[in-house]
Amino acid sequence: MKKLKLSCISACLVLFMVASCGKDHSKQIARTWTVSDIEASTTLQDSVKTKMLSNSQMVFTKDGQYTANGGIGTDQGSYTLDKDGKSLSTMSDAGKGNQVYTIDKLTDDKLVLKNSGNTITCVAKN
Amino acid sequence: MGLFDEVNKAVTNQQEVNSYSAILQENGISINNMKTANLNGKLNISGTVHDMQTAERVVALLQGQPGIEGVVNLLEVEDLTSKNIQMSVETKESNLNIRKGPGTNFEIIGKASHGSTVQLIKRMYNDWYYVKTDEGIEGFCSKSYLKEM
Repeated sequence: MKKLKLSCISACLVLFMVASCGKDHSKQIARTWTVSDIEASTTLQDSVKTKMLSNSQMVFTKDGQYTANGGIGTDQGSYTLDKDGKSLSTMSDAGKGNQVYTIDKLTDDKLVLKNSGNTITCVAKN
Repeated sequence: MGLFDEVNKAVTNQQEVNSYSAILQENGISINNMKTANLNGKLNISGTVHDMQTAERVVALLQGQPGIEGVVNLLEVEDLTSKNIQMSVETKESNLNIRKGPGTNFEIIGKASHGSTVQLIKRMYNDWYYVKTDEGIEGFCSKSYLKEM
């Protein structure tokens, strides 16, 4: 009986930890991000890169909605994170299917997304 | 739509530019600030080239490439104003005609006196330059009567 109790507590603890981790990623991404760098698979002209960085930001809200605007392009829709916080899926309101991005880094102040060999680095907006 | 659309577009465009640049370089042509946009087989190409003949060669070379049905030539001839290239008028005795266009069939709009200097603004066709005289007249004249100082 004592063993069973211990197992239950351990299982609950593990579940709590997993749930906590997932919650943290959702919390971390839900903010306004300023696009600070773009690394493309092909070397881009400086003028093209500067144009894309101009006033570019992504906003992820707690209710699973996102918007992107500025030089990086305009888009909006809904998003989901996987439980490990390693990939981000977006479904654009424009209705052209979902996109999946690898999350290379997600902290309170930095977000790095990868897709098709290209990397976008964002910093949290104060 | 997606978060990387503009980046992906820029990469595709840059890859196109790189492949066209390679073709042009094989033929001894370079374009400054080259940009291209392939709109359903119609290739818009912009940038600056050495002279008009180079621009025509670019169009001829790219016209036949796979996936290109036509080329819209938006190339500009390099503006040399800031380089301040001075050329002396080397006629035998007479003054040099400055014309409205690159050819003897175009109207004469002014003259540059024998021995004077003109500033080279643009190299148009190989035998015709766009210049500015000492008196501020801008127009075309034959390269044959000019010598770089």
